[in-house]
Amino acid sequence: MPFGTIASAGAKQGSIGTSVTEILIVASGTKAQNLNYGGGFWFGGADNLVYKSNILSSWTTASYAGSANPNSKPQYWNGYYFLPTGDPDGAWRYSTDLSVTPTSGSVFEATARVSSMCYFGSTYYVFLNSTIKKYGYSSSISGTFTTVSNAAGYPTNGINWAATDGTTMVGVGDGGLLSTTTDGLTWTARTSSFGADDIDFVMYDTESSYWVASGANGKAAYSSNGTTWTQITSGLTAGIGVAINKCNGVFIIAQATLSVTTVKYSKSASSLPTSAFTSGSAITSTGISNENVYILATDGNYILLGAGKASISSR
Amino acid sequence: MTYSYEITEDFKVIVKDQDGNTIDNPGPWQDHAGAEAWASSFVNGINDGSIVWPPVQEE
Repeated sequence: MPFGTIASAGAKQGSIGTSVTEILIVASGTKAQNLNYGGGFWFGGADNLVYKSNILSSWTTASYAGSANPNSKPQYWNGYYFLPTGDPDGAWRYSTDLSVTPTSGSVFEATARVSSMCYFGSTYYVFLNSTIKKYGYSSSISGTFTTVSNAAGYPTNGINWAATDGTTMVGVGDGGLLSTTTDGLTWTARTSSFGADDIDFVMYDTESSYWVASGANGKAAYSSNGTTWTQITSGLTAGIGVAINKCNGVFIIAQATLSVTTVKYSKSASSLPTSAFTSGSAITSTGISNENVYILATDGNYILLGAGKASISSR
Repeated sequence: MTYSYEITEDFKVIVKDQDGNTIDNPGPWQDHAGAEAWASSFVNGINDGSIVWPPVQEE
């Protein structure tokens, strides 16, 4: 199940494991899909709108100009907000300002869902999470994207998320598939350590020079080079997927529980994902439902944990 | 169907069905404890039905 899928509405703010204060992200009943941080704003996608905040306590929404499909996961690359519509129509939009209606991007495949973008080597790459096994690239975000089909070594299930350290681009997908490229065209499939489980998210942490990834069944992993991966002993359990991010110098892995009101989390003892992870006290919110945790975003100072119909903000 | 697991010397997990077929082989983990914790949680989950296996791919 792709990273980023949650439902609306409340949020809590405070220190992880201690008191938290609820804040409202989007109107109750509106499905919030994910959270991210870039350009001075927290932001995420919901049904046909994008929500944003720069002070956490106050959130506004703007037209997404997209569809109501609940799989839109906005990102921020090179000064642009990237807004996939979520519907399997190959559509995505972009904007430098979330307050205005975003511009339609180049559609290179009309029957698949756009899932992720990555800005790598002064080039914009747009990926599909589809067995169509196709992606597009362009030197200009407003340009026509060149299509690459059936590249050897490219994940056969498509890419859910992509990230780069500036030298290598890593793409992760369903079924534990993970591939790398150094030129954007030649891909090599790697052993992800996730087995057959979906990988939903990957990021590169410039502070520690480590990659981390997270996905289904309680799994998260690290890598020093993007090519060789090791599962993290997080203390969290198999079952529901997890999200991973870095905040205040340590890595946080969060997981919903089958309880309707609880988020579990674990954090690293140092700035390295290779260090031991310690489980924190479960966080309870009355607004959380029993859907998976898929909100875990940070601006470096604050971190937002989310699950089900609510999310929790901490620092 | 009842499932079981083994942990290899390099901390990988081999999950098998009752016929001995490998259904998943994730890892390596950082350590034996991590592999053991995940494997026991996973196998207990699919045996009691709280974890759905094979995973359902979302369209």
